[in-house]
This record gives sequence, C-alpha cells and structure tokens, in this order.
Amino acid sequence: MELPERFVQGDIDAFETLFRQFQNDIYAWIIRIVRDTGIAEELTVETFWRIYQARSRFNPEKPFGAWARRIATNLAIDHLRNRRSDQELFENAAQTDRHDPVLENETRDQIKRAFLRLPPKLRAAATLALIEEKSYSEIAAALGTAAGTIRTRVFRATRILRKQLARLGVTP
Amino acid sequence: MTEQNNRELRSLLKNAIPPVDPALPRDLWPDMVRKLKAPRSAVPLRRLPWYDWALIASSASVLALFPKFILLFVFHL
Repeated sequence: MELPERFVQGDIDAFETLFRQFQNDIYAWIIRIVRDTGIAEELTVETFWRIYQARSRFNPEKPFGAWARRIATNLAIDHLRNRRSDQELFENAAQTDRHDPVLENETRDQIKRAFLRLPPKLRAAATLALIEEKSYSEIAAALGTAAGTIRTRVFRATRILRKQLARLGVTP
Repeated sequence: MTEQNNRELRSLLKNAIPPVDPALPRDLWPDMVRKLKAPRSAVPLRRLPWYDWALIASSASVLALFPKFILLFVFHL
C-alpha cells in the first residue's frame, strides 16, 4: 500500500513520514501570513492535527501538500480573525533589518497600522502577494479559490490602504 | 492606479513590515505526538465567536418569555 493510502487508513508511521516531509513547507507558508514564530509553530501542529482527524476525507490520488496548505491557510486566516490585539502582530518577526533608513519610524508605524486594519482575508492575500511576492495562482491554490478572486482581494486591499494612507498624509 | 504606484506601495509595505524567516527552527514532531496523545478539551468559552453568544442570548430570552417552548427546545437537542 502506498504512503497516502496508509495515512488514510490511520497508519501513524505514514502520518509521521508525511509530517516530516511537509512540516517545513506548512510552517513557511503559515509564518508568511501570521508573521510570528511561536504562533506559526502552534498553527503548524494544529494544521497536522486537523489533517490527521480528517484523514478519511483525503483523496490519496490528490497531492497531499496542496490539501495541507489549504487547511493551513484557513487556520492562519482564522487566527488573524480571532486575534484580539493586533498591536503585537509582526513585532515578534525575525529582526533581519532591511528597513529603508529614509522611511521615518512614524510613517512606518502608520503604514503598519493601516495594514493591520485590513480585513483578514484581504490582509492575507495582500501579505502573500505584495510582501512575499507569491503568485496569484499559488495563493489561490492555497485558499481553494480562483486566481481572479485573489487579484480582486489584493486590489481591494491596496485601495483601502491607499485611502487610509492618504488620510494619514502618506501618498504612495 | 498605475504599475508605478503599485510598486511604490509594495516598497512602502516591505519597509514597514519586518521580514520573516521561513525556515522552521525545530522539529515539531514531538509537539505533534503530545497533541495526538492529549485528550481534546472543549472549546474555551472565551473563544466562542460573538454570533454564538448572540444565539445563546436570544434562545435564553425566547425561553424566558415563552416557557412553553422549553419542551420543544429540549426535543430538538
């Protein structure tokens, strides 16, 4: 029996193999959305827990990675939605500084605040497309939606951001 | 909205939002095993979304106003 089939049957060794094979990819995807190491680790484990619980619904003929990434993306967006204080968001991110020294701290904070106010789905799409430079098709696959939907979400996010930034006196 | 404007916005965002390291810092399998072994607890009350609270409150109000519906409510549980 192949690995995906063994996983569907509840074989824990098969699950461990899949976990080890995909944990890096899932973590890397989640951290790009939530931008916090601890939360990304927690959500990676939660993603695989849900995967294990839903194993009977997995079609072994379809790619495991795409299915896992979809579950991970939905969990990450749920996390953004449920997060009580967005103030801490992005603050625990890796401190590899690539900030433009010309951009003043105050302006940077205003942009960050405007970004944090975006609705979670728009924020996730904008983070992945504009900051992480992922393609619309890759984001769409992870969300189980069409590339056109992602394009629209990014467009709406940029429009909201522009309005908020214009109000703050920042004009990109 | 021009392509130039989009590039400028992208650049502003990249400057304002710190980059993240996508490399997994440690193996998460031990955490996974712990989670698989742990009994799944019920959802903490504080995690319930507002619409669940609204549903609970409206159901309680209806039952308080029309006690006859309690039997019907219990029947549907």
